Amino acid sequence: MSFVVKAVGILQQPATGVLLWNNTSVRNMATLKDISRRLKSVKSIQKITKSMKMVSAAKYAKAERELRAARSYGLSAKAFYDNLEVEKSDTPQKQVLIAATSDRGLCGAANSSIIKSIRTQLNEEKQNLEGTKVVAIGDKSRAGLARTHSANILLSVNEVGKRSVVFCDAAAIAQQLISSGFEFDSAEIVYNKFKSAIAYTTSRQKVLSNDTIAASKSIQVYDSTDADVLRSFQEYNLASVLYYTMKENATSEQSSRMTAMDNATKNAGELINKLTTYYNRTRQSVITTELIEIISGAAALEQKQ
Amino acid sequence: MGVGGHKHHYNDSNIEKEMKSIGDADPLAKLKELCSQDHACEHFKHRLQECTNRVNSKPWTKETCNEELLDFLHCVDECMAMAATRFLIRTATASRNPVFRLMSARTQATSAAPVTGTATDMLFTFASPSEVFYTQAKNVRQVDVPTMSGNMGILAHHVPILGVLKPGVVSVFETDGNTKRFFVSSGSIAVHPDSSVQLLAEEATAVENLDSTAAHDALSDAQRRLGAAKDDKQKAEAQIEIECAEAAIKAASGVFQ
Repeated sequence: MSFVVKAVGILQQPATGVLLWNNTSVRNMATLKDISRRLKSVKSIQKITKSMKMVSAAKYAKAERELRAARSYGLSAKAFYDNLEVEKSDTPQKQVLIAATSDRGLCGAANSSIIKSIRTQLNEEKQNLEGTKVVAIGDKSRAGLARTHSANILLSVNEVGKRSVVFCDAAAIAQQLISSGFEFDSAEIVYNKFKSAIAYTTSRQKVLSNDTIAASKSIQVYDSTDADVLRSFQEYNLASVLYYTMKENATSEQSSRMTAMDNATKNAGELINKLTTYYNRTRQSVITTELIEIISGAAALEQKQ
Repeated sequence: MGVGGHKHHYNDSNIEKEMKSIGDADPLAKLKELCSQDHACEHFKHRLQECTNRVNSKPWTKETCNEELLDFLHCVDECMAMAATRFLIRTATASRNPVFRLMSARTQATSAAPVTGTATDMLFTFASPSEVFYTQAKNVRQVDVPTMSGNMGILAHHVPILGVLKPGVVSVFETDGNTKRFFVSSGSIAVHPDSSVQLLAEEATAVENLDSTAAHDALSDAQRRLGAAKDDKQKAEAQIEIECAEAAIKAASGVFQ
């Protein structure tokens, strides 16, 4: 938080380069005005962070309620991919990384942890960089990756985070991914899995492509599935898993924003206390200095007489 | 003798695996052989063997091994009944005849159920993105779902299957006799080898909540849009809407199936 650093700077460094007309009172008066200006701005920032905390607490409650309903749905869809055994292949796999982030910041480490995880993976995969594409959901991930890996971004989605996620959104993203023409072997959704109001973990959910599923041994167990049914099933499952991970991420993001704004409010409160004390001390020293000047001036006049 | 009370756990997956690679051999003979070697019938086989040895070792005895033989054959028959029906249904549904598939799909549910009737083994999950109806429920006896390949009735121990839903009515028959009906717009159904059934619907609501006037409005709206459609994609979207609205009207007026 940059404003904290600047305000603390006022406390630690004396204002050296200020106009020394009177050598004392001008410097203190300027500092007084500075401090009072700084105090006012920190107070208004505290009000803002407090209201942001309230808003995100309300949004978090709503998101958590919706997540509870979506969890049964999502875990069933997830279980299909998790229980299917896939043989490892030696040929370089074409992969898609789906980053579930949001458009807005001020949410602590929620978005940046996802971006960091993807960036380290992209930097490691020196040999398969062309075969790895990124779907950036949310402006934050797009901005975070566009500078260094803009060639790898396949799709980007924005207007995420303002309203809660609906199945239509996830279905639209899944539709775009499938019709983008990029034949991927596997995909991973990087998202923040919600654990509690103060904890979330950055997790990955693997998604298998239609070819991989058809070639898997475990799919033979399922009776009378022809290619059309399997493809429809797979596409619907992709949208379902995407919906579930986006819901989890939204809840984690709101809880993280709530915590971050709470911390900011607390820090601003501490800063206000420190600044107020300093302001009062400075004010008293200004008064004392003026008194001393007046008295010494008066004493000098008396002596002359 | 204890015929009725036994619960035999046959090694179904092994039997099915062996039956897949049968080629031109006689299925019945192969099944008999597999079931006789099955782990569940080993107890009876052992007793039969003992009895045979006992009778053969004595020069003269009144004892016969009829009882042990009948027990063993009964066990083998139970195993064969299930496996044979499943084998026949699978080869029948592999045929492309849609009528036969529809018929066999409906009977598949009942004939694939084990003779001993452990109908409470199904773990049923029915959810939509915004609402959960059943989660890992154990009190469901049967579920009727409308799929793209026909209406399917699913009981416990149904063969693993993946399907895609059509707009229609899902009927859930619970063990205590209650029947609940829901209208679904689309989605997927998965029956896993561990007898867990997962019904994921895109939009689902209890049939009582359907508003037939709204459905009629939606139908006329979609028909108008079909007439005004310019390209294939719009036509297909309008047709999907029409299908869904028609199914909703049918369900709202009390026609299930």
